[in-house]
Amino acid sequence: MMWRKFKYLMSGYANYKLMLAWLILGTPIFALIVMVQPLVLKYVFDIIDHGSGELPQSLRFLQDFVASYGLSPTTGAAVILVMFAAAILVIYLVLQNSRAWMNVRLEWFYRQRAFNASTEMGPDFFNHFRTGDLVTRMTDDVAEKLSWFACSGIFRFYEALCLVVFGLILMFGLNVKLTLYSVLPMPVLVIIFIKTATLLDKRFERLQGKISDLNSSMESCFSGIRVITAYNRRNLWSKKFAGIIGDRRSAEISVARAWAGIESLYMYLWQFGFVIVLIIGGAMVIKNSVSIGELIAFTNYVVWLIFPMFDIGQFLVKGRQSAVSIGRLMEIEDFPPMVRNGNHKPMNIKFGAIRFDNVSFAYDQKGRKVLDSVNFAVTKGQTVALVGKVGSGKSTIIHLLTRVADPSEGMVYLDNVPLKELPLDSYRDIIGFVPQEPILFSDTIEGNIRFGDKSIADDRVNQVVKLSQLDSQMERFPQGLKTMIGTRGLTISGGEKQRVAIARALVRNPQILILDDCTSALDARTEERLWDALHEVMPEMTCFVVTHRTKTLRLADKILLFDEGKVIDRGTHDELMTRSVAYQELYSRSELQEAVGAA
Amino acid sequence: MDQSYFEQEQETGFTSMQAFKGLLPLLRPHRWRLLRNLLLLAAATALSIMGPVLLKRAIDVNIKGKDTNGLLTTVVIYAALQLIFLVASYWQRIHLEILGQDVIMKLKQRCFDHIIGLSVSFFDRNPVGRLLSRVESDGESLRMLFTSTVVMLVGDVILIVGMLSVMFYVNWRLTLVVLAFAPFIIVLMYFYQRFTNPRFLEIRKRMADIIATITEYLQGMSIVQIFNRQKLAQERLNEANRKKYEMDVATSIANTTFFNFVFFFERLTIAAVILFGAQYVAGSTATTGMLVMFITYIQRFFEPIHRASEQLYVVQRAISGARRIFALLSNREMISESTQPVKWHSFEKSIVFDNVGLSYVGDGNFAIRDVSFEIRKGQKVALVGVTGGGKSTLINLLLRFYDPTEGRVLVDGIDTRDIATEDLRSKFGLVLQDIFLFPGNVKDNITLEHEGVSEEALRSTARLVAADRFIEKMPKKYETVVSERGGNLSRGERQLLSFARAMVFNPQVLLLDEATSSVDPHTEKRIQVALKRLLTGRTSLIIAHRLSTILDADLILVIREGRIIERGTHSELLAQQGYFEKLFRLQFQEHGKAKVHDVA
Repeated sequence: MMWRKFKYLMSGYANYKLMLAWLILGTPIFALIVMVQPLVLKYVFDIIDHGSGELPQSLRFLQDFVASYGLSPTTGAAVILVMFAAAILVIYLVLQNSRAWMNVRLEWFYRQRAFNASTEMGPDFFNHFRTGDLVTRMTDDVAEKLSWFACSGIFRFYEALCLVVFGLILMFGLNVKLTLYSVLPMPVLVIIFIKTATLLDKRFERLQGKISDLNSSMESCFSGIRVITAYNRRNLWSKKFAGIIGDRRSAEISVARAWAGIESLYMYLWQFGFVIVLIIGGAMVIKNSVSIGELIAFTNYVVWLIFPMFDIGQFLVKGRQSAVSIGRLMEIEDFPPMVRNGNHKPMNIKFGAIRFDNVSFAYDQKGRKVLDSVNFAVTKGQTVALVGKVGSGKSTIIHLLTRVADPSEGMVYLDNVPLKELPLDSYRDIIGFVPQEPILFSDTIEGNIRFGDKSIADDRVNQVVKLSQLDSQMERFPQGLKTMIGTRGLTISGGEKQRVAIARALVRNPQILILDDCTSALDARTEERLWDALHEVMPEMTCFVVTHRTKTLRLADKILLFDEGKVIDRGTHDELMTRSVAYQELYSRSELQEAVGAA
Repeated sequence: MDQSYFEQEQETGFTSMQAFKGLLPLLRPHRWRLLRNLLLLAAATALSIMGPVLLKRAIDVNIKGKDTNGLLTTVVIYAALQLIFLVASYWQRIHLEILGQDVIMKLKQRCFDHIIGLSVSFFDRNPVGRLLSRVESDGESLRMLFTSTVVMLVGDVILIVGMLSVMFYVNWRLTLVVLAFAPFIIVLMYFYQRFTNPRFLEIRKRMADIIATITEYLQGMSIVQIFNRQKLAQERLNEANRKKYEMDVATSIANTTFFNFVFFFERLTIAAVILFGAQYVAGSTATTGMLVMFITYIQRFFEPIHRASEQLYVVQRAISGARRIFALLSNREMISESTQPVKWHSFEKSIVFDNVGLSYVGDGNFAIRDVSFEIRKGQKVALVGVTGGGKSTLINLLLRFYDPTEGRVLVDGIDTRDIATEDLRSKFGLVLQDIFLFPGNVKDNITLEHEGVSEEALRSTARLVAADRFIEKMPKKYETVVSERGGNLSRGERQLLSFARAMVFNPQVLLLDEATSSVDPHTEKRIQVALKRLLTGRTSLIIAHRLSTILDADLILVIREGRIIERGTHSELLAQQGYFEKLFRLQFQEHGKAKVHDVA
């Protein structure tokens, strides 16, 4: 499992091998340069103090370099310091910016990866995971937790290790005894950090819980304001709010205490280390076993080793959190994607006839049959109306026709080829579907109609705009078809949405048009005109219409009457009116609805 | 998840200066606490400034003087000072945090109380999410002023001034060397904030876009797949990702660049101090310890600079949060309470709608118009019509959720606007279509946490509406917690609970908006029985969806497009063979045959 998670994490670097190599190789070199710096301080303070000092062998060339410009030793030392400062500036600019850049790129990568996986998932996936949960995974888990860790978390840890190792080596090189005393608190710091991080985490989680409580309490209050107002309970809720907000305050303070306490503890321990260096080192200077310069270098090392301890601790804590986040992201991909059986090579499907052969459907093995041994055949160009009560099986037929599901028993044939065996994408390319609730996206109206297909001619787009009765609404749209709709754009009415959805289905010239009770939000006149227009073009396609509109029923080539999953009768309107009591009742209800003006 | 990654900048009508001034009164009650805290902060800061001075002494006096005991003393004092500093600083931080919490808590309470006092029309126009972010998110951004800005203003200023003062006292020449670099830092800070501030805001917007894009495509994935448009969805997110990435990269790089340059200047300053300092030491106007002290101070400038560079962002966010909060608090959209309300002790005679019209938005579109009718005490009046005809509006008016645009509503001859809303509403029991259950247990949801309800009254009400049977079967009976939105109860059970809620205070008039959803016949039977008990002998106005309701109604009002088009008893209306007759056949029949039940 861990290995899989590691692979997931590393997948982000697949296209950035160069960056990875750069970070791996560069970091130790930079760490070394940083850790050599205190030695320059030693050098300069030795000169200031007693007139002479020495740089380590490998850096002597710097001494010679500044001497060649005729600078005095101290001036030269200051110049060397500046050179180091400049070098470290460049190093960290490059190193930290590389990490920052990589962090953000990784965030992009992981989020895109999780989302792309979800686009191939079927309805069972979306029943299993709530949208809000998926969004949290793709934002919070990706950004707050994973992507920072995947680069900065790991490489700061690596940098920290290098700093510590090089630092210790150099410190030992100066004075073994003093080094040992200086680094005493270090491991303790790391342990404390890890232990207290857990405490902090717990308190933080508790705080999150209280904030969540506060939000849901307010949410239920504001949503139920009518009840609260009608029953004069506002004072009560004011008091309740005071209680909840008081709880939240306590949780916040408890987090603040933990955080401040940890920081103080940390700082104190570090100061403790500093103090030890001062005493023991100072005593050693007095005894002349260590120079002032060396003491000052040691105090600098102690300072420089603190942050790496922090980064090491962070790595372990954040690493755990990131592993959890990776697990949550992998859950998305591990879910079985939608069924795509059949060969995958795209093909041009020219459709002639559809046949349902003894088709049954149930949601699971022992479930009730939503469709029971349905048989019917439809030839090209026919308009088929599906009628029946709610839950009689019409929507399931739609699911099967759009291949959102496959039959549990029996088979659907397209020109004698089982639908299952046709390439899914090629089949969907020939159907146009308008759902009951129109789903549109944040885009221009034209963008929603085209739905990403730039190859459709503008003429065609304009044609379907007229067909779907959208042109009468054009004055409502300031930029015409280029008006933005959706969350950041214009809010359009339900009826307008339905018309856009119809245009969207029609624009690609589908061979099979599937309409699921899609004109409910339109007023009577617009609905009339829309269907008149549709009826003109429908003969060019094979249409399946779930409807109860009397005119549509009268014009349909074939009506399938559903009841409890079975087709209990079929025929034209006239045929059914003469022989089917069930159809008569249904039809007269539809007439009533139209008379009463009910939706 | 944070509900408000981004809040549209609305026109609030409050300037930043006004918002800032509005914040000061919030602090007044706490001014002594704040003062004490700031004094403590100053004292702690002063302590921390002493550290490097002791360091100087340790080097110059003790070490140079080969005085091991002296060194020990100095170091012990140093350690002690550090300890005191840490304790004081911890104490101060916690208490500043508590102070900030107290101030903001009061503000949030004010916001909440104000919001729930506003009229229903306000709630109809403002999505819950926006209200939540006003109280929570904007409140929090104000709190940051305490944890960050105050510390910076007082603590950091004292720190920097203090350090410079000590440095100046010890060696004014070296101090000038240090100060020479200050302008660079300030310029850097200025450009950094100017560059990053607008981009931070932009990042939040782009993150909101990402969330919106992910949400809408996940919710619409079935359509995306049926149209074979997965690639499109992926590209859309990719684009949103890319835009955030660009902004992120810009700010991250600005961030690391700024801080590294600050570091660089820090080291340059140190190098300069060493350069000049070395000469001064040689000329005996400075000592090694002095140089170490200066270097230590210089290294201490980093944190205050870090904090200062964030401040513009913190303050900006706080001010814009404050502007929105004050705009909210100045909202007076409330149902007006009469200044001299008439007491309505008890419902005696009738409720009259007199030529009532209501336009919700005031744009000339009327939800109802020319509505006149009378409900006499003891009568059962039913409202029928298709969805959206205007029936709920009548209930809204009776409860004074809205006031009529035209005409008046009279109870016992008194205009409802002249009665105190609390007085008026206490006479009604309300059952809505959307059965609203609150977090809490069964008892709380029935009594709405009213303390005046005895256990006996609670149980007898539950018995009356036939809810007691299922409540008694629940694990903790009346103490059983109702899960969010009533998830652990069936539709029928929720309906019975809402009946109990309406009845537990024995209202004189019952307002009922019947649920349209179908339940199984058994539950339906229980609901009908409960309803019958509720309505017996009680005045009621019912938006009817049940046949049983309208059959014995004393008066049925047929509402179409906001007007009463027919009225009468059930048989009278059927005889008219008009709109009602068609509606009746459509809505109240099943399978084309009239089912006239005798409901036991």
